[in-house]
Amino acid sequence: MNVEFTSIKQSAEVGPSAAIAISGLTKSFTPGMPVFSDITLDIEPGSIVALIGANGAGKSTLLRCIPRLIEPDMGKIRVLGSNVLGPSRELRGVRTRIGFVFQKHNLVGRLSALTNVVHGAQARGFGAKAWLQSLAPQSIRKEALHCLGRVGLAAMAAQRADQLSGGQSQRVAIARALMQHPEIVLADEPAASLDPQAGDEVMQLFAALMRQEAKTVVFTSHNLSHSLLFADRVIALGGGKIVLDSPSARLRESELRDLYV
Amino acid sequence: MSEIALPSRVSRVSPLTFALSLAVIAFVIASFTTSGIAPDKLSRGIPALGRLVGQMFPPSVERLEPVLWSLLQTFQMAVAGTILGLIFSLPLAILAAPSLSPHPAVVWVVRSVVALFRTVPDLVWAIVFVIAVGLGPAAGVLALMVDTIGFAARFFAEAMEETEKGPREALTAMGARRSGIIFASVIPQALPSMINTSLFSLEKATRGSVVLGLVGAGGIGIELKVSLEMFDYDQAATIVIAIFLLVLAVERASTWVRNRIL
Repeated sequence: MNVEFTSIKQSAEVGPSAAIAISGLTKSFTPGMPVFSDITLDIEPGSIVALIGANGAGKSTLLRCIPRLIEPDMGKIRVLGSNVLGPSRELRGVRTRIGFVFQKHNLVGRLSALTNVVHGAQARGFGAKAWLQSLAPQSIRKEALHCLGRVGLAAMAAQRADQLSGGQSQRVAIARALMQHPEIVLADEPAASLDPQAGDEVMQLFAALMRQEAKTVVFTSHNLSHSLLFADRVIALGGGKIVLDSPSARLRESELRDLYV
Repeated sequence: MSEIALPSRVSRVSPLTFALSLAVIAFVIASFTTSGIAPDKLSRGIPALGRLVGQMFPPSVERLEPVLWSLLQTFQMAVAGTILGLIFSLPLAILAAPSLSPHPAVVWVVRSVVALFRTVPDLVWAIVFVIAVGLGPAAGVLALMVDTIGFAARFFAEAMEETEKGPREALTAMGARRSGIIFASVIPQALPSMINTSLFSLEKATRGSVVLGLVGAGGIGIELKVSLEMFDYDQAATIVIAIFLLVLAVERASTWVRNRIL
């Protein structure tokens, strides 16, 4: 690989001030063939980090290990000081502080955009009031509409989610994450299922909203220009290890392209 | 390039498969023999059937009013039994769906109970409830409720299992409770299939409620039984036509509702 790594930062200990601190993380789906092994990294509060790598490099697996949607084999994960790999009650508490934007949006297609955004309030323990917008108190409905307004879709609040375009669906998913009031937002290839223009628009909007709210963000992407443009820091996975960890300002797209060769 | 041999028209059958096939054929032949279906018997039966139909027509409208009241009671039994069954089916379906149930042992137990409800015919449940709660429509309603649970809980559980996992994952990721995931994601997705199952349950219960009267569990079945035992075949014809119209109306109505909602 013909890349000069600008910096490789792998802290041995889990940092106390880090928003996300991962140490010695290993995951394999097939015994003896780890997707990644002994990954150690800290994500600073308020930073936007792009996680890149070729198909199968383990970006999405690593991202999903953070809220324990995938169970790691070994290692430690602390999010905002809490142990993610601890008891399930503690895990649920940690998850409420993490927003997750999925590549396929993961909206309930039969429900309205507004109801899907109202679901974000479940992270704050509203119970039955956050199942459907028709059951939700006025304050929650207004807040959900406001979140939809922030992604430019207030006018489509009553529209069924399965009648929205891919870009609109992803905006609703972002609004749902905002509704959650998370401190950290993880996004798994948020623009990958969109056409280039919609993908650029969604990424611009996503990054702008995240910066406004000073969220800590980790997003995976195959789009190198998105990684350089919207992230403060780029981490590349390859061969199950971190092969690059650098501030994005010091990187050029051609350097990153070499990682895929 | 070596030439590829043309596959044989018939695939080779193992001796075990051959023996099993012979056993199945023998069993089918034995089934016809045991049931006594024979052409001479059928040919003798056709004139008798003709005579019966002749005695049934024209249908008598002498007791039309009590027949219609019985028919209404039958439909009310079906509605009450279906609704009670659907209410109990929802929690049972959640417990029977492997991805929603708290433990695999719970799935096994609930599925076994639901299978028992389904495999025992409604007429047998009616006899059981007549013994338990006495003669009358209450026994019929309970029988229809159990029969509905056996049918609806299974299909509700399957509908829930077939929902997209993505929206569930999204709610799990944000720390939603299990109840939130079920009611905000799973049930809204499974709803069209659940409505369909509910309408079929009503149709099934309407058909089922007609015969429950034969064992004293209320409804029009008792009217039919009495008419046949008293050889009032013209009266029986009225009842059969009334039943046919009720079942047809319910099927049409449920098709209309299905098309409107889904």
